[in-house]
Amino acid sequence: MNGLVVDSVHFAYGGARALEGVSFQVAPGEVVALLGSNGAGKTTTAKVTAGALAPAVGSVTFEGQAVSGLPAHRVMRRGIVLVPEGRQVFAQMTIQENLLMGAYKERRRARVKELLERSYETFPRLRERRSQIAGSLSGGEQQMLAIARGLMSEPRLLIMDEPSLGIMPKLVQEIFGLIRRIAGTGVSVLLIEQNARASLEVASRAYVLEKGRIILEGEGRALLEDEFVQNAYLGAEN
Amino acid sequence: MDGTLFFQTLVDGLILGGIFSLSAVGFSLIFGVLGIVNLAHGIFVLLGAYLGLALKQTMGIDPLAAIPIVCAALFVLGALLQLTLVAGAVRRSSLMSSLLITFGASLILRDAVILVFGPDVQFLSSAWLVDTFHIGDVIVDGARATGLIASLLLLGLLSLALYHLKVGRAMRATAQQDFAAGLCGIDARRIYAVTFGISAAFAGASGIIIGLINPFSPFDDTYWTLNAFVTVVLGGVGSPVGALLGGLLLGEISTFSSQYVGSLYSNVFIFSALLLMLIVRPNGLLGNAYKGSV
Repeated sequence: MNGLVVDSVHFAYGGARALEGVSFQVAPGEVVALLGSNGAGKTTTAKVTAGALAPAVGSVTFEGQAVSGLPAHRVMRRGIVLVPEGRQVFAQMTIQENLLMGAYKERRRARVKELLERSYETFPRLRERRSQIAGSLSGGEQQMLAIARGLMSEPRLLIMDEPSLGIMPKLVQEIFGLIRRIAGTGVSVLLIEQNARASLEVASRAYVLEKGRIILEGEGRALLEDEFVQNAYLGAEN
Repeated sequence: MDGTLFFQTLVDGLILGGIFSLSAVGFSLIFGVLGIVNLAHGIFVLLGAYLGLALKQTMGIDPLAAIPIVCAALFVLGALLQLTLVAGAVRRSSLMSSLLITFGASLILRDAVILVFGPDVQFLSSAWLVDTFHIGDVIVDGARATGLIASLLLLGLLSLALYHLKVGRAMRATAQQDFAAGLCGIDARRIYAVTFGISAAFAGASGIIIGLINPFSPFDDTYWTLNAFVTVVLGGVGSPVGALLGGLLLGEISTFSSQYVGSLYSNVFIFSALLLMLIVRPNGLLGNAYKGSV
């Protein structure tokens, strides 16, 4: 398979086991959601995939090449870019500087300019405020900036860790719309979310993670109808 | 109050402050970017002065012209110290262990200086320095004026680099969010080594300027480390502007208290100012340039 293959990955923080044999795939151009409750191992999975953590056992392969064991700054050069939980923008730098950091690996100045221009077209609000420091933005705007920064790295797989967490509902819709558009440009997306309903609506496939294991997988629409998923993650209102 | 004496003290404080700023800016940078208190900073300053001396004695290079060579040599030394000893200690133990490692390095380097140059007091002088000149009634000697101008130029250069060069942006990004910086493709180990190198290079440049103005001996290193510490606490962590403000404040406090109270008491005033700053504004005048601690 050409996209991302995560194969029976184990990981422990000291003695605390976080992942116990997680396997999943993301095909090129596909949007895959990874659902699960707090502490299920979603963020750990994201970090292992992006190279921020090295798996104890198991492997991560992207476009046919092993990336597990490489540090994050080299994994991103292979095309896997993580938009981390909690946004982690560079708060004391301007918005434009934040975006430029996304294009850090790009040596061609003209290309950096093109990417910047593309960013500002996608996110006009960031253009208006490009010389403001990122710390002055609202939570939702910072999330947009974090995503824009990730896109500046020209990912072929974008991993988004809880992009809608702590963001006002109006902007949440905007973020999910954005995910659709990103996928439309051919970029694969691994979406890690506690907002299960919205995720399943944009994802073609989804996995459910529980206590460090994948306990369920299926097509997004099908999981929306799944009784277990409805009870555990969608609330019982329907 | 005698007006001329007041202005003379003000100008002397400014000049001393400029030197304090330059000697402290590297200390501030390492503290801001790596979170490490580099106790070897003072010996970096002295190594600059001694390297300048060696270049003058063996090859006849004028100390001011030797600044780029000294900077390059100290950049390599600083980067190597980080890549080998400091990074290893921090990885195996904790950030705290860097205190012990840098203190140990400063002792070894100081003894190396004594071994090569002897324990005696030394001087540097440059043929390019002009004689004393007057601005009104205030007397400025060429060495001090050159020192202040060179300090301001170098601080300005560093500021430009931090804000306009790619590597400067990467340093600031790593200081603010090292995890996200890694996700952007920045190799933090490389940035840490570069930061240590730049810090040592600026300390070395300040060492030459200090050597042109004052006699120096191998035992001055703790003095320069301590001054750097005070400067950073007064001005704020991590930015050249913070170092400049802190250094100027320290210089003025030092000269005014020496002039009007007595030179024995200047430390009393300096550390009172330090305490006061820690109580009212613990992050210094400008706060932390990276972590938004104001």
